Amino acid sequence: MPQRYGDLNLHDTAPRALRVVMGAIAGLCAATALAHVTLVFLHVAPVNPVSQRLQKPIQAWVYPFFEQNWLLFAPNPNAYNTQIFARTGWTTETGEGAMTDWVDISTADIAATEHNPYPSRATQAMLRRAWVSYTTAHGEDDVAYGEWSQIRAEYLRNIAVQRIRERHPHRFETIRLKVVTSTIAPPDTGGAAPTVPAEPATRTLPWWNATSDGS
Amino acid sequence: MAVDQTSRVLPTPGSTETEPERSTARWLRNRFDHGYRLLTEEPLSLYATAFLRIGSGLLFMVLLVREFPHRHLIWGPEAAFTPDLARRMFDETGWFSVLTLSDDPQYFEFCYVVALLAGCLFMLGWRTRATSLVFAVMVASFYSRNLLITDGGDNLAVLLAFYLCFTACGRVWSLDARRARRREYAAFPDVPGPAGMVRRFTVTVLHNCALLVIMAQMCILYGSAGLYKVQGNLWADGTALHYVLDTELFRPWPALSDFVDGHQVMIAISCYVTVLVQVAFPFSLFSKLKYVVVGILIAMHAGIAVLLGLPLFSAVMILADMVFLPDRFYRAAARKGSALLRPGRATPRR
Repeated sequence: MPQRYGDLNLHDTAPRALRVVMGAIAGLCAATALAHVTLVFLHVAPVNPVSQRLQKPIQAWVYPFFEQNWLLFAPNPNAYNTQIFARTGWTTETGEGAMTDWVDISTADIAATEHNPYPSRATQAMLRRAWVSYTTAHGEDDVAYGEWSQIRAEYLRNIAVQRIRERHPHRFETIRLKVVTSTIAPPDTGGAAPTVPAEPATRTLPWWNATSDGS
Repeated sequence: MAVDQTSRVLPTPGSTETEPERSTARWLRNRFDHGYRLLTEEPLSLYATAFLRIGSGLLFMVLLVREFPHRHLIWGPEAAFTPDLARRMFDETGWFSVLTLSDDPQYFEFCYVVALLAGCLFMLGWRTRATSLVFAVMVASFYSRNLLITDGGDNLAVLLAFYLCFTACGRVWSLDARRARRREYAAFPDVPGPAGMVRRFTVTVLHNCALLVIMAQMCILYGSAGLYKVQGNLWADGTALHYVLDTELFRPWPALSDFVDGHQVMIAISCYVTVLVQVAFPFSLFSKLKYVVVGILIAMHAGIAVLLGLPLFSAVMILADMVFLPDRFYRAAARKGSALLRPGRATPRR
């Protein structure tokens, strides 16, 4: 009988001793819920005296299971498109260094998205987000800040290795990425002079060790 | 603030009491009693939470079925985000995933089947409380296995899965409920005596608290999403959506994106409505205005689903918005639905 809970007031019909227990349960649950909501609120709120004072409990409570990523195109959507190239290098039998030309590893993602009502995250998100994660974890000099950056760099490298291996099945020892970023032009406002799109910026990453079996 | 309210409290007939403190205290006690009854008398919004359960289970299955051909690339032992990277990430973040307990490909396939099964059984409401725990573990495991590929929709799906564990979301529209109705089977066994009373009471309180937390979570989500956008100059000048529509991986229908992008006034209005509705969301919930706001948000997410090619993200957001619709809406919708499905039957079961 699913509905039976609604038609009697458990608290009022319970013996007195039980009411105390129930009151305690209700108090505990309500307090936990309110504490949770308060801590989560303080976590997403800008830094303030309260959140500064409670920084440790907030972090301990929210991370990792209650993390809150609600940026959702905020504060500004990314106003650029990126094209990512990779080239591989290896040592020839005579001991000389050799390398391939730049191979586009990102344009296939756009093709996979087009006319697809539900693109896979393997094409729509994987490389794009890996690159964004890399840039947020590294400065322009590509120096890793520690494990946090290292994980992102290795992930980006692994994606590149996987994608280039599909097309260049020969052995290679090193891999290098080149990322061309084109700024999206502001909307054409009509009357004003047409905006000249800025030249795409090219960023070449250092050579990374990589074997063609992905390790 | 409490002092302002004293004027609203009418003295009871025959009472000579006029001191503000006394009536303030009484007002507070009345409010407290009201809140306590609301919290403890019965589980609220049972249909809304059941809908959330069905939706969560279904969308998790949709994700797993959609990504089935790509599962090895995204979560498998051979993924670019290797199990080793995932474990190093867990050391950094404190996350956990059952998927990295073994690097055996067979084990991964086994987990995939368990996850699909958990999603299906949770959707159907089979032994709901136990299933909800397995479901939450599986949703969190797939999420944390590759954090760098997730979006806000996945984040919300994980939170919903956690919160739903505390709700009585299997009470209606579930196999549990059907069994209870058909065979008088005690799917919610009535333990006699004080222990049973405490148990029922605790279930109710936990449910209502979790419901409150889900609603508060949505307020925090939209409030912060809106206030973050207020700080962006592209949302302020009404061109943010132009840049989103020109982002290559968010253009599944280029002709449609270009068409929408060609209407700058519409883009600017959409930008402003997006920000205003998100910021207004928490404040609209205490009036009928919430139906307008929830309606706009659902329309907005439907637009995102089609225009930006993010159907799963949008579906999770819409699903969570539905928690704010009252049970009478769900019951009416179910009546309409079953009348349409079974026109012969005069009085549908539910």
